[in-house]
Amino acid sequence: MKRRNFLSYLTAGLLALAYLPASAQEPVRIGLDAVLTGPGANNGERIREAAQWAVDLINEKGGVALPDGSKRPFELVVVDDQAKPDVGLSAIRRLVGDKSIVAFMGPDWSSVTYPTLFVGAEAGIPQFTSSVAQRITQEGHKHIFRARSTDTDWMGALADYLVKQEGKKKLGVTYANNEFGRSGRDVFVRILKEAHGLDPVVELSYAVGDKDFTSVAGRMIQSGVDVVVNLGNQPEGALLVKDLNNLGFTGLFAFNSADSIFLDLAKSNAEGVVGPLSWVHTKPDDKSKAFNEAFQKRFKRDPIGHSVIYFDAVNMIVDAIGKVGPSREALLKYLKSLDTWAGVQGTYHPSAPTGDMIHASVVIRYNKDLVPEVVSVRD
Amino acid sequence: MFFQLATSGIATGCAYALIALGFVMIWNTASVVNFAQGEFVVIAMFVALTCHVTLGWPLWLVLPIAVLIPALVGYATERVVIRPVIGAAEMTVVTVTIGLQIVLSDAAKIIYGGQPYSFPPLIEGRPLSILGIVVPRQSLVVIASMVVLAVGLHFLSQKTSFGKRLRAVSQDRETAKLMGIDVNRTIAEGFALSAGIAGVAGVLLAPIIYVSAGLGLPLLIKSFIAAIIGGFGSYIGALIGGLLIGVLDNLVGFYISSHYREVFTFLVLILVLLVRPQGLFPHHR
Amino acid sequence: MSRHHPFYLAAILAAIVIPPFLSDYSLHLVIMVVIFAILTLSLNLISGYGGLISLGHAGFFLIGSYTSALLSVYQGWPFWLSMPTAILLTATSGLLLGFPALRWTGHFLAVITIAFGSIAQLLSVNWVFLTNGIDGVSSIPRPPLPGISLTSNVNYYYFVLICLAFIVYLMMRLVASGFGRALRAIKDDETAAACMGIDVAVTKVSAFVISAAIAGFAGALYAHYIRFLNPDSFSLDVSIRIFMMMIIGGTGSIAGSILGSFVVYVLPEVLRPLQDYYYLIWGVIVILVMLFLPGGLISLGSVLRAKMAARRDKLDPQVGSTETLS
Repeated sequence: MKRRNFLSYLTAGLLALAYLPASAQEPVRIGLDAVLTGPGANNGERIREAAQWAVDLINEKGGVALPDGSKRPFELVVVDDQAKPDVGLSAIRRLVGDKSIVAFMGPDWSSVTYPTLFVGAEAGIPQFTSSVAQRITQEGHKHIFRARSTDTDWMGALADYLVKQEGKKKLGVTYANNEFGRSGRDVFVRILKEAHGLDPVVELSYAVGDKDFTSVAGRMIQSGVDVVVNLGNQPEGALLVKDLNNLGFTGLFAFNSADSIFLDLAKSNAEGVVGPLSWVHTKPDDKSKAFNEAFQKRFKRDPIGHSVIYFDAVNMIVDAIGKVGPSREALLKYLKSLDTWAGVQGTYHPSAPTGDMIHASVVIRYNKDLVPEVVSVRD
Repeated sequence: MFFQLATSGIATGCAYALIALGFVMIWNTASVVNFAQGEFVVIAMFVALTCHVTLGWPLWLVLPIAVLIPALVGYATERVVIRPVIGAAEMTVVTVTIGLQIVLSDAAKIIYGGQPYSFPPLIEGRPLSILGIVVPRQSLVVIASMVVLAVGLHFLSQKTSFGKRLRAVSQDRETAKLMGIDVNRTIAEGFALSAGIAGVAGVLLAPIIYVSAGLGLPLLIKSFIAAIIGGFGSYIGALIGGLLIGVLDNLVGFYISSHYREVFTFLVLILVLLVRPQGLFPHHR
Repeated sequence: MSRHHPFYLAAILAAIVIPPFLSDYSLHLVIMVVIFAILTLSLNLISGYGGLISLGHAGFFLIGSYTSALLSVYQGWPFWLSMPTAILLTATSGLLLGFPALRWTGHFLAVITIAFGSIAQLLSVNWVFLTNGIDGVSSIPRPPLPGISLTSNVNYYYFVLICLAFIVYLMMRLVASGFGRALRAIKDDETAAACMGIDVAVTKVSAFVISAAIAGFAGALYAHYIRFLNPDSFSLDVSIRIFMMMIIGGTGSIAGSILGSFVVYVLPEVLRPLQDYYYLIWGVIVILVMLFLPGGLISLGSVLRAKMAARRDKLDPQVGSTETLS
């Protein structure tokens, strides 16, 4: 997999050399920070491929358009944060330190995004993140745009579905002991209380990297819950649902990362699993269908939520550059005054004071053919 | 629930036990503590994944290959990097194997990326229910394989000439040399054997936990602790230590706290070192 | 030593003169290099000079960072109080870890220290009431210094550079002292050292305590520089990285630790296209160093010179012998 990257660097390098005399034009650069090594690398690879694809599509059309109608080559600069705050800080400083980069996307992990926010804030560069933790947009930073619905939107949709549509009252909560799991857990438990007056029957946490979930599954079954709501990452979620099924759990399994990566790992154990997502490829609107088709043609598999988030983000930046030109200050000012922008994921509101641009979400449920059926949509 | 937890813990524990066994074998024959032992597990997993899932080869063909390749890698690493440092200061030896661990795990990461892959079960079918305890078929495979392997290794070490050479070198390298045993060859073969055992662990683990490049070091640390608890250098100790760690992990997760289960493994290690430093089944050379 | 003076002088001059002209990003890198150099030096004291393996130095680093950060953020202590407290606490934890080191060496000690580092990290995750868990500690203030603002990264760089200079001085004194000689004697042969009247237990435990204290100091410098802590930054990876820095730079060499930190931290950032491969490359270098260059990169110059001199000797036996090996 990585070998192909190296080859593509090489070809890109050779191509760049070949074209050097012809287009001495300085390209317009945007940055991307993602997790490309370590436990979160699966999402990171998908993010990189989607963002690169969006950039390639622009270049196929002759490059990024400027307000005066001219076009310039478009370039994505990618850095790796390894899902670690200190590495992320170096990576983002590198992006921001490169004055030719006019906007950047990432990080994906909240535990990296939060402590590095100040770097982008000090530089006044537009930053697009897909991190879900609430507090990222609660610190009053003016440069951050969240291109994904948050925990609050998701958990609201999920709790509504479980309690109102499914009529479940005995809920057990399991969560990964990381930022993603904990913040998901906090929001879910709060919403369950506020909106439905319910408390979880039992709560358990586990460590990222745990392999044997018999003890967690056993505790859940012993407490007699109807639903296990799991908040965490895909590998642990897949192992947990396998152990629950092995031990004969008959209730619902709800999971906040029930995406295609989870499906790849859980295989047939995913049947009947319910989950909130920002977007899913079976979402029935026209834009989603068109995107899905193009993505299928290019990559021969289904896109995930992150594909759309970063695809949309690149295009939003491109549209903004077309209006005000490639400068950090102008872009930031323009985006903050832009009321609506229509993307694949739904309608964005870049001018939202906190930076939370979008609240679209869906709840899906895997049917017996393991296709995620949309059971509820929120915009 | 207690027996349920214990049964499932035994399956994971078997894997730790096998890795610890190979680890102790290298220690006994070459006085080398091999921090790269967990990487042989990972190599076996990825070989199995590539051959079975990507290329679609049948399991009966894939399994021997997946055990053989780590064995070959083990043989080669002994030849190239371990042999020059055998007998050197322990710090040097440990550093070399740490370097080896970094190289092997990162090579896997470069080739396969950091993401986990799922591996199909070796035997299809719903979990069995025995006396009210749910036992996934895969766990039975793991437990059965470990028993067969342990018996086989015992036979190998007692009855074959290779086993006798191995034991002679473990007991005293100098005397073995005087007796006309090719010590270098025996050590290299011992390395290959222990890497092969790790390979078996990898093949057995692949369907239970997902295959990913970062697994080696955590598995190694667990197995290392298992070996110390069992009595460093003792084969039976390594096996029982491994099972103990697997079971303990589950029991602590259920009865005490899922937060602190890792901490407990380490605390048990420290406790054993303080109270019974020779381990539960001390090794007599 | 003397023939290296021009080289060392140039390095020191470069460290003083160049940083104000660096970009924000490069400045960040050199600050981290200096902090890691202090950390590597602390490991070198017990491993390089004492021959005791530690793969748990991230644990000391963590205790130092968190102590100073928590005291200054939640108790409002100034850095000049919280930092010494951090050092005191890490030194105490070093004392605790020093006792197992009396009994076990080599691989046993490696596992015990791994256990120590892992427990420290797990507790920092789980003791939410104390450490704020995964959410981490934010808004850690920079140290106050009358007349000079350490919020500027250039000033902070000089601050940590002075700290490094102080630690280097301390290490040189330690190594040259009776304690240093005792430590090396134990590394060479513990029984012989005991026969020579060296108190092995006291020496080993003190080495651990001093090493832990220095690592805790590095932790405090790190916390107040990075201004945000969470348990992710103190994994086993960090312990292994420090270990690599020490080995690659030169085990048992002060300049080697500094060189190692610089090379291991900066080279991957410079060689971005190789980014996917750099850990692999470091692994290979660690093995090569152990097999062919036990003195690390710092000894490369003298080894090459010795080789060349040896060859010259062979070619021209008349001139040789007197001027080589000076």
